[in-house]
Amino acid sequence: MKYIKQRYILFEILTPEKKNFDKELIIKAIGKKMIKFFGEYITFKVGLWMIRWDPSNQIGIIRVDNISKYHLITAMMLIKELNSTPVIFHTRITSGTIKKTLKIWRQTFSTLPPKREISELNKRKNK
Amino acid sequence: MFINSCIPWQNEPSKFQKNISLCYQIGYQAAIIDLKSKDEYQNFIKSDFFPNNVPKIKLPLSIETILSYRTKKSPISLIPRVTLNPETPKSLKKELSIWKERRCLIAVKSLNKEILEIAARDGRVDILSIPTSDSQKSLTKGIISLARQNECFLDISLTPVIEFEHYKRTKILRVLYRLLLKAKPSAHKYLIGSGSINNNPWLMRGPKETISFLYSVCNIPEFQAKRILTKNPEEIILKFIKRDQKLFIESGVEIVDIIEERAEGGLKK
Repeated sequence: MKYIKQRYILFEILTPEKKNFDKELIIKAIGKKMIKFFGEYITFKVGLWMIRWDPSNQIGIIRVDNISKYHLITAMMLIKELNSTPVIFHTRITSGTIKKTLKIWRQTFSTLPPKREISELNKRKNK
Repeated sequence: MFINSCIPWQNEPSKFQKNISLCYQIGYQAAIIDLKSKDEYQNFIKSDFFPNNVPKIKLPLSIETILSYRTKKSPISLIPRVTLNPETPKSLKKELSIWKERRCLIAVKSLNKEILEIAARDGRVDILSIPTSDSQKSLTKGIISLARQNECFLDISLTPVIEFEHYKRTKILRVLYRLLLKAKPSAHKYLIGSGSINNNPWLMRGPKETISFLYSVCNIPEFQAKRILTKNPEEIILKFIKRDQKLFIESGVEIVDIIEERAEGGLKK
C-alpha cells in the first residue's frame, strides 16, 4: 500500500480587530469553501485536521494530504469573511513534520504553541 | 523577494500606511504603487513614502538596490507607476510624451484594441494593465505578441476572483483561463497585483496563496508561478532604477558597474 505523506501548514488569521475565533468555525469555513470551489472529489482527498489552534493569537496548524496542499491554501485564500469580519488567511510555512512546524511557530511568533487536545475517542479509551 | 505589482495610492496617509503595513505582514518586501493622475503622482513623490532624492546604490544591481528605495515611514520599498487611461490613440501619444521623463513606470489601461496595440508597440510603455475580465477580453493575439516582442509586462489581478462568487466568479475564471491559454506564462511576462482593492484592502492576498492558486486552479507550474511574483516584478523595478539612476544610456548600452579610481590605478601599475 502506498503511504500517504502529510503536510503541516502553519497559518495565522489577520483581522482588523482582535477576535477569538472558534476552532470549529475555521474548519467549517475552510471545508465549505473546499466543497464549493473544488467539489467533493478533491475535498475527500484532503483529510483536513486542525492539530493546534491558539485562539488568542489566531495562529494554527492544519494537517493535510501532500498532494492537495495547494488546494487547501487556495480555499483558505478565497475566504473573505468569518462571522462577518474581513479576514486574511496568511500561510507562514508548510512542513513535513510537526516538530519543525512547532519550532518555526516558536521562532516566528515568539509564543508557545498550545498543547494538543485529546480527542473524545481517546478520552473514552483512557477512562 | 516577493513583490506586489499593484497597490492603489490613497490620499490619506494613515490609510495608505495601513495598507502598506498589511502588505508587509502578508509577506511582500516591495510594491509598485498605482497612481492614476498627475495630482496623485505629485502627492506620492512629495510624501515620506518615496525618497525625495535619488538614493545611493551599490553596483551591480541586485535585490539590495530595490531595498535601498525604502524610507523610514514604509516597511517595504515603493516604486511609483502611472496608469494612463486614454480615450484616443492621439491622447495616448501626448500623455506618453509628458510622462516619459518622470520618475515612474508607465502602464496603459484601456478597452480599446487600437490603443492597446499602440501601447504594446511603444517602447515607453512598461506595463499593459488588464485587471478586469473586460480588459482581458479585449486582448488579441496580435497585441499579446507585440507586448512580448517589446518586453511589455501584462498586469493581471486576482481580487475579482476573491471578491465575487458563484456564476460571476466562474465567468471571471473562464476569461482568465482563456487569457492564460493565449499568452502562456512560460513565454509572456506576467505581473500579479491587487489592483482593485480601493474599497477593501482586506481583499489583498499573500504571495504563497497566490502561487498555490495559480498552481491548483490555473495549472501553472510552481516555478513559473513563483517567477510571476518574484523575478518579473524585480526585472521591471530594476528597469525603473536604471532609468532613475541614469545607468541606461541607449538600448543595449548601460552602466553595469563602476570601477573605483584606486582600483584603476592598481590596474595601470
